[in-house]
Amino acid sequence: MNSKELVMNAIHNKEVERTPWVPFVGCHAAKLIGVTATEFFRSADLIYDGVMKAYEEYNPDGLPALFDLQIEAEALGCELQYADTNPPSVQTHILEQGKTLDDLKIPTEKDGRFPVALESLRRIVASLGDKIAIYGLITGPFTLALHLKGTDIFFAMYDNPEETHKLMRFCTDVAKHTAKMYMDAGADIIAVVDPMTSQISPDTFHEFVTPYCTEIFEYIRENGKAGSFFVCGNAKNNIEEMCSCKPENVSIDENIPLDYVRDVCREHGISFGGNIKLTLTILFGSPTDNIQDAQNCMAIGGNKGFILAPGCDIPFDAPAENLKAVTSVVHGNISDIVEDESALAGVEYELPDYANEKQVIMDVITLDSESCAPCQYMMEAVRTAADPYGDKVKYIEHKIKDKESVVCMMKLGVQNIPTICIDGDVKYVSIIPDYQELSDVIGEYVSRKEK
Amino acid sequence: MSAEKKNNEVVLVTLEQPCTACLIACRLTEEIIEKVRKRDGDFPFRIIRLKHIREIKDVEGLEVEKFPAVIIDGEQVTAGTFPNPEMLKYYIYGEES
Repeated sequence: MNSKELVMNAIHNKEVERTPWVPFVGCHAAKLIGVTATEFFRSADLIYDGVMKAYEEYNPDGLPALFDLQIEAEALGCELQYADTNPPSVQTHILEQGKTLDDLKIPTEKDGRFPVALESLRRIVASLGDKIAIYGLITGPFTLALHLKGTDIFFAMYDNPEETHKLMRFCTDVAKHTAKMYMDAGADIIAVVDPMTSQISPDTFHEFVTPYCTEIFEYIRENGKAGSFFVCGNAKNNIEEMCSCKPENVSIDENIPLDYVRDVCREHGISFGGNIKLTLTILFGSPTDNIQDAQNCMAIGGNKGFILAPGCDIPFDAPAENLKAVTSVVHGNISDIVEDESALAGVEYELPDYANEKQVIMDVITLDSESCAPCQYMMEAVRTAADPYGDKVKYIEHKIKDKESVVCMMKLGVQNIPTICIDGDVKYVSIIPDYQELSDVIGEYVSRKEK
Repeated sequence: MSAEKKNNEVVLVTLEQPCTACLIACRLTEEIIEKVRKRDGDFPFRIIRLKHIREIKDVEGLEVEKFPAVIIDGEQVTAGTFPNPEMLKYYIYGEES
């Protein structure tokens, strides 16, 4: 199964051999190729080069072609302010400036920066389309309505619901048309990104968003593609409504507990994605922090219907080694990252002489069982299986936050964490063995020692 | 007798590199504040863009680390949500007879 198949199977809620990884590389791609975000978002060449660089650096299973929630608004006449280290931002709301909805026309592929977006998408699909899943991102109808009308929409929903519905109708038509352009250009997945829905209640969502987004996801399906509903912000109260819109996938950021989203989505038969912390972990954390966060997400998400992703588009200055650390977790070669990070000159660790030790020695290599969920489960499994053997077995947790533990990991030939080694043999890598199996294996080692 | 009229400083706190959602929310929050300023009278207003989370401790009144955050007279009034203009007006100007 290649990367693309991995993502497409996961997004359709199937079991997969490993968790797919989709870094939402937006303006960060500009940093990768040494240009400003201002230059990046206006150039099909730079967008293509940036995405190709992200593919090369991060070995992802999927990528967005472009993460820009302002394209539709700009094409409709809203002014943008570009920034060197951020996506552009909407500065004026066309419906506050004397225009009415009747004056607006649905943008075509010739309007605004759509030529740039579509050209880069086609080229990305041509180069990567058979290898990884390509996401086309569209601005969700509610966020687009906010771009066009400004925050007066929050009052209009109560004072003038009919007009608000007309606005949502128009924004839905824009969303569908944009989705069609991206689907025709080769996007595999259409992500409907509607972050401003996190600002409204479930009842308001139900009235003003659900009917429209349901229509959008149905339209995407009719065109043979998958739809992902992506909302960042504290949208916990709206997850049920989001699922009722029948996307194939719901993607969230760190404001919402991933296990909560998992449980709600599974009830609806919908896949889910997320939610590595964007600021604390990806932007300001260390590679080890990223390994931990990714592992925690993967422990919660499991191997069915889950896509590992950051909470939102990756910040411009996110250190590349942090994203590579996540890649290492996904592909099972953490040791490379950990060794690089540790700077191990002068650090020593001597492995025991296992054959001549009286006890069976279990070395458990972890990040830190106090903060990493899979590591905690692994230690619990070891304790439960080993304790009945009393003095015959000794187990040691080696936390790779400590440099000596990294040296130990290297000497044992361990590639991924958490891992259980027994008397120097690598036995369980990232898989938590059940009690009986582990107890039996420990018993074999104990018997061998006693002979 | 009228209550003492307040004219407190409004501080909008965000990250220098926020996520896309925070970027949109921050801009819209700024617009809400500017509308209140224009409609109800001027007051001191500034935006703090944090380069690093280490700087959070230096922002007076910032307690809940969700952005954008609005702080009025050293007291946080929003954390990641849009401020209600009437609520803003009350916090800034207080009650008048």
